[in-house]
Amino acid sequence: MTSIFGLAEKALTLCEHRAGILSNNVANASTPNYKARDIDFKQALTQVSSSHRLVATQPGHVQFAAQNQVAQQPLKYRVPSQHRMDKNTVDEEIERKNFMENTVNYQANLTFVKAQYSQLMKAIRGD
Amino acid sequence: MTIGLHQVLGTLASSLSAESLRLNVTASNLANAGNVGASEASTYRAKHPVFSELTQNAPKYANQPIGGVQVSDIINGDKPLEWRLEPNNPLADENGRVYITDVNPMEEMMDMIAAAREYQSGVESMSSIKNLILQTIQAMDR
Repeated sequence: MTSIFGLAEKALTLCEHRAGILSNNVANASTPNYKARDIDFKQALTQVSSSHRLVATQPGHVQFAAQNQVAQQPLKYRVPSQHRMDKNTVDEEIERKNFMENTVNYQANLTFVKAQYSQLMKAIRGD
Repeated sequence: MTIGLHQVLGTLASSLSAESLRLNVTASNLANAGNVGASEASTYRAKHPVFSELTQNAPKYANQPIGGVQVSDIINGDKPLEWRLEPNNPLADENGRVYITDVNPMEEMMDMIAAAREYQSGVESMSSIKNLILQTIQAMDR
């Protein structure tokens, strides 16, 4: 059963997941040997929105909505622009930019979900 | 397991706590910057926190980045100490030497600036995530 909020809801979950990855990068900005990671948002969204049915391929899989699919997006490594002695690849400015981009994305999707929801409420109330 | 926004706050909070510990250690080093001691073993050594990433312990998701940083250890420097000749010093050993601590004030100051900057970065990110959570809650108020 697809969600009534459509793509925006899946994008919202994906944004949340990505916020976690990016803030992990920010938190580990001075950890030696840490490599900055991220997900390919466009690819992930395409993949999450194109599969309507969750297939349980392993005994541990639980059947609930988009959450499990989001968790299985492959984590990619960010290509570092400069080398550091402690082998850390986090670039504060790049991470900050991605973080902001993700935040704005989240807010945009939230607005869409809100709009859908209020339309639904209108229909229920019969305005 | 997905990462919800509340867990993101936990990740950033771990960063704040680690950076604050780093500042603490730096302050301790700076406070002892000019100390001398009677022997190599008893003189103050510069302390350095070791940062490492927080990873999941559950065997199914082992070593996936779950968010956060921790200070796993605080190590002492282990280079041989410099000494100077001060026979009148009550701490001097039988050769008249006192051992000087290996704290480098320049390094400590730079460390402090870096820690303060990362702390600030963590605070800003937390504030931004907090706004998102508040907006999400307010979106349901219709």
